[in-house]
Amino acid sequence: MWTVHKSGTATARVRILSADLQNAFQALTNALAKGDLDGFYGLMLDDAMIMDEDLPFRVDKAGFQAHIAFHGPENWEGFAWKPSTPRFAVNGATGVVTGFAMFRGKPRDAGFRLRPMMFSQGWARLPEGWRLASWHQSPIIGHVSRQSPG
Amino acid sequence: MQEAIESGLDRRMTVKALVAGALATGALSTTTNVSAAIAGNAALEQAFRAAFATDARKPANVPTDRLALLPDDALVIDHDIPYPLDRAGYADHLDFHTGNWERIETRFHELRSAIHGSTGIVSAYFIERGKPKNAGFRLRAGYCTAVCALENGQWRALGLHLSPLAGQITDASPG
Repeated sequence: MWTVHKSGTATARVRILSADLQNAFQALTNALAKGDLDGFYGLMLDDAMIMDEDLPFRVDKAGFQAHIAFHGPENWEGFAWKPSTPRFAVNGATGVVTGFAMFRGKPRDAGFRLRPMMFSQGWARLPEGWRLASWHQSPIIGHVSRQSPG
Repeated sequence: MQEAIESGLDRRMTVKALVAGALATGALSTTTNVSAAIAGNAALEQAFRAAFATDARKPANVPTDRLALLPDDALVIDHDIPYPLDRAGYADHLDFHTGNWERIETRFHELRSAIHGSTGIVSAYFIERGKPKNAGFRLRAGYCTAVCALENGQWRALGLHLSPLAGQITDASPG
C-alpha cells in the first residue's frame, strides 16, 4: 500500500505529480531488482548525497557506485532491496519518499543476511524527469539502541 | 605558516585574475550565476540551521523552532523512533522530550548543501548532546538529511531524516 501524503489539501496537480514520483521510485526499485545498473544509476544526480546503510560516512554517486561494486559477486551470491509502505510527498518540483526496507541476501561463505532499515529519498523534478538527489538509509537497530538515558 | 600565507595570497591573486578575465571576456553572467548559487546555498543552510539553533537551556522552545522548518505535509524519520512520522507525529515526539531535559542542543559537522532547481538538499553529521533530568549526560552521534522545497522565497523541509551512526556500524558485516 503506497501512501500519498498531503494532509487533506491534495490538489489534482499534486496527485499527478505524486503519481509521477511513484513511477520514478518504482523505476529505480525495478532497475535495482533486475540488476540494471545503468538504469539504476541513470536516475541519480552526480552530486546526490547518499548515506548507505552500512557506510558511516556520506558519499556521492561515484562513491556509492564504488561501494556497490564492493558488494558484487565476489562477496554475494545474491541480494535484494525490498521497500515497504513507502509514503510520498510532493511540493512543486520537490519530492520525498520515506518508508521501511529490508536488505536481504546470501553472502558467500555465510548463512544469509536480513537487515531491516528505514529510508528517505529526496527527488528533484528536472527537465529530464525526476532525479534522485538524496538517499539516506538507517538500520532500525540504531534507532532502538540506547535511545534512552535510563 | 609562511607557506600557508603565500598559498592564500596565490589563491586571492588567482580569483582576481579570473574575475578580471570574466569581465574582459563578457562572461560576467557566469560569475553572477556562481554568486547567486552561493547566496542560494547560504539561504538554504541558514533555514536548516535555524531549526536547530534553539538555546540549549530552553528545551521547551525546541518544538517551535524545529517545526518552523516543516510544512504540514512533511515526512520525518527521527533518530530515536523506529518508524516514519508525519509532522504531527514528530511534533508529539518533540513535545515528549521538552519535559525530560535540563539542556539539549544539536551541533553539526561537515554540513553540505546542494540546489537542483527549486529543490535543496542539506546533509550533515550531528551530535545531539545534553543533560536529561535524573541522568548524567547524553551524546548521540548521527547523520541528518533535509530535503527542502523553495516556496514563496522560503526554504522548508518536506523531508527530514535523522539517524544514529551506531546503526550503520552495528552488524554491518556477516562474519
